[in-house]
Amino acid sequence: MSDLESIFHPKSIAIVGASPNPARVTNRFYLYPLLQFGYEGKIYPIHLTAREIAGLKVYPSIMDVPGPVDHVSCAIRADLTPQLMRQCVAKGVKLIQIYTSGFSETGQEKGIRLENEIAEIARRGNVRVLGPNCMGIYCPGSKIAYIDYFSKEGGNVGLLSQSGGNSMEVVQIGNSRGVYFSKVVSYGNACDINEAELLEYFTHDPQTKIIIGYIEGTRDGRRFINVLREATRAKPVIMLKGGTTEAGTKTAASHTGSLAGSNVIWESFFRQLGVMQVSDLEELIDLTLLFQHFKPVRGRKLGLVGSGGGASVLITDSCEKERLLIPPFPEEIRGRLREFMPEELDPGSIVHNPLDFSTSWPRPGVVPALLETTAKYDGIDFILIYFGLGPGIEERITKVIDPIIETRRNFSKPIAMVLRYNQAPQEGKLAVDLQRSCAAGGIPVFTSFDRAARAINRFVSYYEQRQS
Amino acid sequence: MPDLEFIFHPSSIAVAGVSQHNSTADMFLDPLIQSGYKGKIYPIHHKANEVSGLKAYPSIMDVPGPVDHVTCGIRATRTPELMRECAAKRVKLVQIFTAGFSESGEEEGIRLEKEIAEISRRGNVRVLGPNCMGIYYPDLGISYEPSFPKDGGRIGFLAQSGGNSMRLVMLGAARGIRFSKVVSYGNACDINEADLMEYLADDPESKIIIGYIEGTRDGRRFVRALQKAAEAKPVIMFKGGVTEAGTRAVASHTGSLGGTDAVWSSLFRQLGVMQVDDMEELIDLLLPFQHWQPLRGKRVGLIGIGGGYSVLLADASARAGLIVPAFTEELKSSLRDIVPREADPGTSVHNPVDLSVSGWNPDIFSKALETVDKYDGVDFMLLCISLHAGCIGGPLKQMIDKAVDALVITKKKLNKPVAMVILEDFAPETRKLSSGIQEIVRQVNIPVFPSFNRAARAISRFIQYHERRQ
Repeated sequence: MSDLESIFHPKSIAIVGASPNPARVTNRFYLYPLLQFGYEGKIYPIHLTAREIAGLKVYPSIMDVPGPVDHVSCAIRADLTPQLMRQCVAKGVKLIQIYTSGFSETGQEKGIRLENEIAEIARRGNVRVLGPNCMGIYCPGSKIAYIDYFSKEGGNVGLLSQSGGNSMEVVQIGNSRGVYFSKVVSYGNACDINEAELLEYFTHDPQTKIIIGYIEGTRDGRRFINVLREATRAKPVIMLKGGTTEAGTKTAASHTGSLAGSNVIWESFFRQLGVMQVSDLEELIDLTLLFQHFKPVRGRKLGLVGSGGGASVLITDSCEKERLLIPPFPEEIRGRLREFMPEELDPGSIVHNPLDFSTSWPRPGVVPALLETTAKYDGIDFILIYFGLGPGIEERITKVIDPIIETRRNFSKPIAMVLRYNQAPQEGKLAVDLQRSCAAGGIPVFTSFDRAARAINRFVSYYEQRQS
Repeated sequence: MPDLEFIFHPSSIAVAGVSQHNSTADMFLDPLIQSGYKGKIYPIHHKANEVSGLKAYPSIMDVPGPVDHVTCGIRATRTPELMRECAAKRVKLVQIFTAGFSESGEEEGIRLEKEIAEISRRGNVRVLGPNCMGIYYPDLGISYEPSFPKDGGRIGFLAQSGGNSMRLVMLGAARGIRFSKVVSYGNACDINEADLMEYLADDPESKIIIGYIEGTRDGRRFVRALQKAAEAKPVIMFKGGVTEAGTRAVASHTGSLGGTDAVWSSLFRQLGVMQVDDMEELIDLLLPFQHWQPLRGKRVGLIGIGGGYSVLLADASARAGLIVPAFTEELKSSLRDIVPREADPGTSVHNPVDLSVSGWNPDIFSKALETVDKYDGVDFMLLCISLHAGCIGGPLKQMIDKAVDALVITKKKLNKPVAMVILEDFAPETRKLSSGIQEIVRQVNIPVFPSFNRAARAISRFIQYHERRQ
């Protein structure tokens, strides 16, 4: 087994196909992100005739670069890659990442032959290959990225993705909800470095505490299952499997050339191994968010705290459908809650579980006091807050959300929040800022009751299953 | 059977219990003023002469002309007195926002609600509530929330919960849903879900009916009304309190008997009522009903731009019961003429068609869409685009704008319905761009969904509804 650690720490990167034309994909995905991230190693743009690109000295080929070249990123035509591969061997390059598609995933003889040729040169010449048909590596710790607006802040989530496009979706949706990554690898057709090797790497990587993956299929099922078993013993593993239907499977074949296999087989593997399987990108982020923020929880008893009678009914339904428990509060707790929210002042308020603070939220100190009382109650394991950002959104933020974030650290129990907003642009801006500030304060935010309840159930179930 | 038409056409509305600054009753005064209600508005205040630029009266008895509606947010204990005044003044409808009646489960509240119902019956004053938000009828400028859209639509909505009614109207508004009439009816001590369902079933302005209910006190009558409505129009119900804990929450919310989930679900199924179990799903399902005629079948042509997500798109469609037919060689080669592989090796002309970044080229995109539209083997098209913060400001933004313009023009030439999925990272700038696109394409009847699964599920249920009626 090879150690992949070195692929995340190149001292120099050559970009083959960098162009004086700023709109070219090679610049957009490989040059600008490195500049934007402030990559500290050497960057060598490779172009036949240009002298300088983005202020960097250009070389006509990697052979002309004076010092060593650790990585090569390229988006050149598929039929030109074998020649580049041979140069990489000669130059002692450690890793070449190939963006270009048109290889085995086309299903055509020519593409398959080209990919075999590349794999053969790689093996004999001791050059590792990522791809072809992939985006490459995002490692904020090493200041390497393939999209310039990915977060510069790193985290503890490792992502391996067969699809480049889906890796971008996951990182961007994740970043905007406060999920940050240790390392992300988009590996495409996997003619050399494959899902099994990456999964093995993440299993042992101390920076990665949670492993998530998008895969469409594998060419070496047995090995993949072995490493998956090892990974799930060490860390939470969440998988989004693309190609779970016949239509999706056909698409996967033409996308990354994988044999997707039947859904039933994958599902039962995942279940047996304790892998959490999700069915869309949103659910993947929902679940990751909880693992990123929370330590294992003790049980599935929830205290629901929020505002709105109808909302209380719906969130209770959502939780119970997901087998979460909403125990009634005892008289003693209800009495204490009533002290902060007298019925005379707010006849619409309710001190059952769900606790409905109705129109009491603008009174200073009420929301934190209610939360503190709920959090101290021994009969619940987890608090879920629900609140709508409707009209008067600014006041709602300063009087409810901000105090919750400020007092969060006083409570030993995990707190998550469902923040419903109307998706109008003006509200959307505030809501997104809020998701980030809540996440920074240790409070994961969801946008629907069902999604919150589903993610919490799966999170709790994960630890229940590991105990049993 | 009562004809409720009059409750939507008051010539005058008195708002009782307003203050000069900031109280619950002002919640009802401001929306009327801002929504452009054309009738007379009378603020009732015990000593002020003027509130919000309107002449105020100390009591409704002091209002010179007739008063059709009274809206009030006064303390529960004072409502019987107000009701008696309304009877004397021959008010037609009183809407009571205040909570603290039967839903409290306490004797005093139950007694108060009975007293109100009794005065209503004897004095011939209809009551909406208590514990409700009232009426939103945009065509007449009647509203209980100033941010609700001023333009109306074709969806009639009855809601037992005021808060959920607001949330749904606002969520829907942002996604292009427009309402004919919305009634939040709360504890239903007089006008109830059955009355309103009967009304909406006959209302020519409401083509689709949706309901949020937690329970009913007269199940038999409600079922009859629901049956009649479902025979006439698509009816979508969102039942709150389907679990045991949810039912407990219902009891303290609107004092209803929630009933068991199994009973409600089988009832809905029998009557051909579509049941949804969250708000997002409800809005999703409304979009095709609002924008589309019934489809010929469930075969979808999938087209992605800026792609990589074709696999998930195909999975979501197939999982929801849609058919993703393989394209013929002839169709594939026509598509290949539009996007040659040499020009963009990342493209794919199977179904899903992946136009990759070439799809942002308006010419390529329009031609591909027209080509799939002409193909007899699909019944509708689902487009997918993906937007990120990085789209904004650069050359890509201009391409996106052009592609959207091209879509609007092309759509008018197409024979088949088109829906769209916009994936986004929810960064503030993206939110703005995506809302803008949604707003534009809505004008040409392209409903927009935020995820593959949600689009596929909603469209599939829309198709199933029409299949069952055939």
